[in-house]
Amino acid sequence: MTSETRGLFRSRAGDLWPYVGGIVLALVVLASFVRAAGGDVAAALGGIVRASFGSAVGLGQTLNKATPLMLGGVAVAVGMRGGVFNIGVDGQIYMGAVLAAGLGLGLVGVPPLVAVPAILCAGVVGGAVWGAAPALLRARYGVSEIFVTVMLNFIALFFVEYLSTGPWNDPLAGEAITRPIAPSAHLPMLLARAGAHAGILLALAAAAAVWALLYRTVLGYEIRAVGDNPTAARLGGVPVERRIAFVLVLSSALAGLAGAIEVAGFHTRLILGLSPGYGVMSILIAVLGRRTVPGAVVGSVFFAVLVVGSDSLQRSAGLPASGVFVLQAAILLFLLAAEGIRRTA
Amino acid sequence: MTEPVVRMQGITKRFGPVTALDGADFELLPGEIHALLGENGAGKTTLMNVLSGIYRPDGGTVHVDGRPVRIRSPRDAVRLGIGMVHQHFELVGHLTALENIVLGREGGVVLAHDRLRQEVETLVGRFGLSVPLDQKVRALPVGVQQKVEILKALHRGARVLILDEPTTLLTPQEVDGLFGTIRRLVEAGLSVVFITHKIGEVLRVSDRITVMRRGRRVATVCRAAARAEDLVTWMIGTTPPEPVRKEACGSGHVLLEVREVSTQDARAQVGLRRCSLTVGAGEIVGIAGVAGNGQRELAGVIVGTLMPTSGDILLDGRPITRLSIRERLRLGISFVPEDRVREGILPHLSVAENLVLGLHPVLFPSGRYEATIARGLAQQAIAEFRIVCPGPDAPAGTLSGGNLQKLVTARAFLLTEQLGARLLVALNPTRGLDVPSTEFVHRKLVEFCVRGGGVLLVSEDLDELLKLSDRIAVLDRGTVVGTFERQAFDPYAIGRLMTEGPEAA
Repeated sequence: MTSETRGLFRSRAGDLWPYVGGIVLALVVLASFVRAAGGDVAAALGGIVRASFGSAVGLGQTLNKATPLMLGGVAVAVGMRGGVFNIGVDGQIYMGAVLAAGLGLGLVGVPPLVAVPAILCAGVVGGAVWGAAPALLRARYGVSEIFVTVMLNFIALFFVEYLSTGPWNDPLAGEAITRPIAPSAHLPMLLARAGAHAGILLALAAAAAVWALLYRTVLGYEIRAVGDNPTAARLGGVPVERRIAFVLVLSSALAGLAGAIEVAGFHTRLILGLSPGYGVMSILIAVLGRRTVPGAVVGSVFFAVLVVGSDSLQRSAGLPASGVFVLQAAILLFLLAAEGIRRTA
Repeated sequence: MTEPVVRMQGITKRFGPVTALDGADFELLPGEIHALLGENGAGKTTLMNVLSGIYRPDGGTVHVDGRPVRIRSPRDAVRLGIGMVHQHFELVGHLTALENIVLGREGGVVLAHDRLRQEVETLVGRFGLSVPLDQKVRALPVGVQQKVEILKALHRGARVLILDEPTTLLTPQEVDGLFGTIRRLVEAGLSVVFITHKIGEVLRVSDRITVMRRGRRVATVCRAAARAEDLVTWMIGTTPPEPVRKEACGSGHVLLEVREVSTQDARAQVGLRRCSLTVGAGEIVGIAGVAGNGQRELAGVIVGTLMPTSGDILLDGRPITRLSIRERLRLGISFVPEDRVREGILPHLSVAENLVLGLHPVLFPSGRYEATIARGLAQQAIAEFRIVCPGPDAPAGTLSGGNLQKLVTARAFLLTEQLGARLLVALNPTRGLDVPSTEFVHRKLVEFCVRGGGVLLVSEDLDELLKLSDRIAVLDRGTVVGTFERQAFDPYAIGRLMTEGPEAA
């Protein structure tokens, strides 16, 4: 290879620098923010580390938080790979949770070996069904999945509100939550002392399976081809519409699984605030992870640390709760800017 | 010796790591037609873009009329009397010819319509460039649009006119007309730079010839002293490959039959109108025609992207009209699409992944994508087609245009080899390729025919069609208006049919 051609294809290691810069800038902002609020910078940073992975309970929280984010991030990333933009992760999480909770309520007396797989499958089906509608509309009539998935988010949210305050409401709670599901349908614990459920293993397994699908099968190859250039893929004999529909249903099923895990592993019931913006975060994770499965996995853990750790700032640095959100948003902005810089550089 | 109008010395221009111009020199004498000859990527257009202010050079000097100048923008170039007509016209389709010509030079708030019209009409009369001034540009044929571009440059006061590959889309008649125009311009005292890679044209029209290769000047010669063989050798740096010849090897078996096919697009625009055509085994059938006369649609109905509204398509006598693209691929219909980037390339996927597209259902019957197989095939294709890339795993989007064309062409031939494909539909398969690569693709096409394959070759380059085809069919407004057998090829008759339709015959 001549030096000329070598120069054309730059190394990938250099790509990481904008991220490092983004994180450093974010830390600078964090430090000045804590100082301005009259807090101790060192204590605050130490608090973040302790809260997110420096203690058993913190680690458990981070893993639990990373689970839905990982599934959501992979869901959005695989969609993007196949050329669909799934904005409906929230709705699909909720519908997965609805089906899981509905089944879980009735699973009393069923042994865990049956109940747990059943409740997880219910979540997958719930999400997949919620994604099938936009998939069909997109593949058949060319309706943008962006609109349909967003609209379905609202429907799912209000449906959960109806269920949690209406027919499935737990009268003892006095909140928008349903009665608990059968204990035999609870997800087993991974680290009992840390309070971490086994969901993270499921999320990792799902991510690995999606990666293998994309890169080790002809179906995945066709999905990537469609996402990259549908016109060329069609000329190569790929049934473009069917692949698009498939990948949207797959993406939704992953989100639905996240909903089931939240129900069976964390809340043990359906609650109205089940998804505190997981859908939006999933999109950010997928973009920051450069639409790759490994990137989404790493990104989701990073986000979980960020969410869990910055929550702790309320305690360790005395920041107000809204200040924590401002901080999270600032850090994200820096990372997104870094991603933009990397892409144009 | 007369003072050159333009003298460029030691011009360098880098785009990132790529050196497009590497100390290029060029002199243009007053009143001459100067051909700038070279392969794609030799730096001809870049050099002239420097002169017309589109690029700023990284080094070197430019003199105009003996004075050193700095040309920082196209505006500077216009002020110095330098005008350029680009290969892809820069016209506003929904404005009239006159509005396009005076665009940007209206002066003042109120359009001085009468004065401008008078100015343009004077130019038209002086140079014999008749143009329907009040018609919208998009309705005009390519040859006339080109005249509008030339008038635009003249109206801006160009004394030096640069024409970038001006004959690419023209019929032989239009080329004759253009050359006449160029001569009149020169007689009136202008100097013309004529960028091209076609040696025949160079020898026909130019006074002097500068040959460029790899961003440098190789030689400047007078036409009288120029020999075609020398020009090619200078252009490509080695002695040219022996041009392939297509021998008749048709077996008489009809491979493809297009029978009275008509199409309509979503806006109810008619594409093909009762178009009929056959391709025999061992035959190359060339499709000539002005772009937009149904070439795309014809390829589309054969490969399966477009469903005809009536008519039939038969492969080996069996109807394939309703089959999917995938089924047709399996039956052995291979395709080189027209727009390689938009229709052929998966930019973020690797070279190997791009190469197996279309072949993949057959290559991986188990449903498992076997990267090692794809990579191995890519390695072969890279070597055979001399695709310049870091390797089979490089993203296809990082390849240059010529190499993408090689990749798309290599894919089509790979399909013919692996699937035993019988029919190859190729749209401009050598556009953007250098001379050796073009020869290579031509040789592969001919070999494919010797093995019993049939080729439907759509090309905007009439010379390519004349060289390779056993038969040339002329498409006009969606239908075949005439067919020429090889022994009766007549470029002028073909050109007449292309522009004037069946009435001309």
